[in-house]
Amino acid sequence: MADIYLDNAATSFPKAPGVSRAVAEVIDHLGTSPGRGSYRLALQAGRLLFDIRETVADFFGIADASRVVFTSGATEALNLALFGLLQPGDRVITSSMEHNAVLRPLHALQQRGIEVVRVPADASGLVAAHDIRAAATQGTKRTRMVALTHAANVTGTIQPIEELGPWCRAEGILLLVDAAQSAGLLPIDVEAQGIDLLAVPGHKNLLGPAGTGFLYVREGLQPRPLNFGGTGGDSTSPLPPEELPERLESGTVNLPGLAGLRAGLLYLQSRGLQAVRRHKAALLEQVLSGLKRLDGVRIYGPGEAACHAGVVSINLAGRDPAEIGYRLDADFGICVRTGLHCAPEAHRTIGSFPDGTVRISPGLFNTSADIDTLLQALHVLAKG
Amino acid sequence: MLKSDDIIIIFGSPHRAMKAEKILKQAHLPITLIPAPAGLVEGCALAIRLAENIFQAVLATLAAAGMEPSKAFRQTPTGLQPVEKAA
Ligand SMILES: Cc1ncc(COP(=O)(O)O)c(C=O)c1O
Repeated sequence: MADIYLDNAATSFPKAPGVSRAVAEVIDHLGTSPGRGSYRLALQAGRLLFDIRETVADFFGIADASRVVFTSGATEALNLALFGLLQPGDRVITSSMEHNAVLRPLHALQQRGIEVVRVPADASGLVAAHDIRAAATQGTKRTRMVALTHAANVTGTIQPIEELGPWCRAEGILLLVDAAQSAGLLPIDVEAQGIDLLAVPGHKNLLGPAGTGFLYVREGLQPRPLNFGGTGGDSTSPLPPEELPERLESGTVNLPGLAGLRAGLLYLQSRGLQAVRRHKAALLEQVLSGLKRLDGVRIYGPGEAACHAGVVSINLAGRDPAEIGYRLDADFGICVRTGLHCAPEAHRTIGSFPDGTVRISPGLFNTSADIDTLLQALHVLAKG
Repeated sequence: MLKSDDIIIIFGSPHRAMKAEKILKQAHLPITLIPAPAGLVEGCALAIRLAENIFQAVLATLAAAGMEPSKAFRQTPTGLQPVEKAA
């Protein structure tokens, strides 16, 4: 029984063709540290890092690639944006659909005197733009930042970033977007969408290896670093350099992983983002319409494929999602993630706390036959 | 590493040095990325070396891309001397 992997919202698997080769290529032939030495191999590594940064920038409409700061994933990117820019006395608006990678840093910041306002989403997981605007303009204190997920990881609900970006810009409020579930699936253009800070994992929809990701930092913003250490130049200064990206990238960068990330991006570009989205939306549509024909299945979120990014969450009436996940794996070789998905508030919002849901997240390499197998399995399990 | 009258330009960061190299190579200007000579390492251990006869072309190409170097020097018998960057 070959496994059918439907947990691409956690990390994509398999990766794009060419990713593992690109990683191995660096390890085997270019295993030097960019920016740390000026012999030819180190320069070659530096040029590769530069090219990767430009590829990433180009993909997200970022005019100046130096504003792309590589991180170990979305979590580090979000921490860098939040801890790097918020000060005691600031107010930040967020939502009830956030991942712990936003909730927990904000909880820690709240204890340091930052005011955190959580705007509730509706039962489908949608956060209304007017509720964010109302929360941001309430009271006398200025709001410093809106921190919002682009697509919720529990329900896939797509949030109204396009509407909020220009408004935040006009109000002088920073917009931090957690693009963990959307980058590589929904179109993102930081300029056009008015995004000041964009946190992106390399290992989900961008099809790169684990341990990769980045934070885009709009020009004019100067976050405090999370890590202090060597940056390759000006070693006599006790302070980190002012220049990005080096200021925020102390330590040896993960060049093999980033080379893999570039291979993932080039693959996505060759397939075309629209075609990628169409394929995943077709799979989700098949999941949703199949589930709607099964008795006793509750679907969370909008319920229309076009309004879901890559995931659908469900429950079978009266059944523990953990058991359904276990049976899907043990009896049918189907990998899904069950439980709370690191987003407890989101489950409270949609009414699935504390047991959580069964989350189905097809990837680019899943087929319609995989979904048929899933639906048949759920049909069997729904009968008891 | 440096001959008499060679010009060295430096940038604030490795990323900018790499970007400058790419822009200049695309413009077919014969430049070389080298380790920044001791004392010039300002946030970046790299420098770009070029011959004096292409200095103005290099400056103009970089200026067109909004990538002015932070400093420029000329190799003289008494060592590196700052030079004006007026393109
Ligand atoms: C919405 C959301 N934000 C943040 C993260 C954290 O991403 P990473 O695993 O790259 O740190 C995830 C992934 O699990 C996520 O789904």
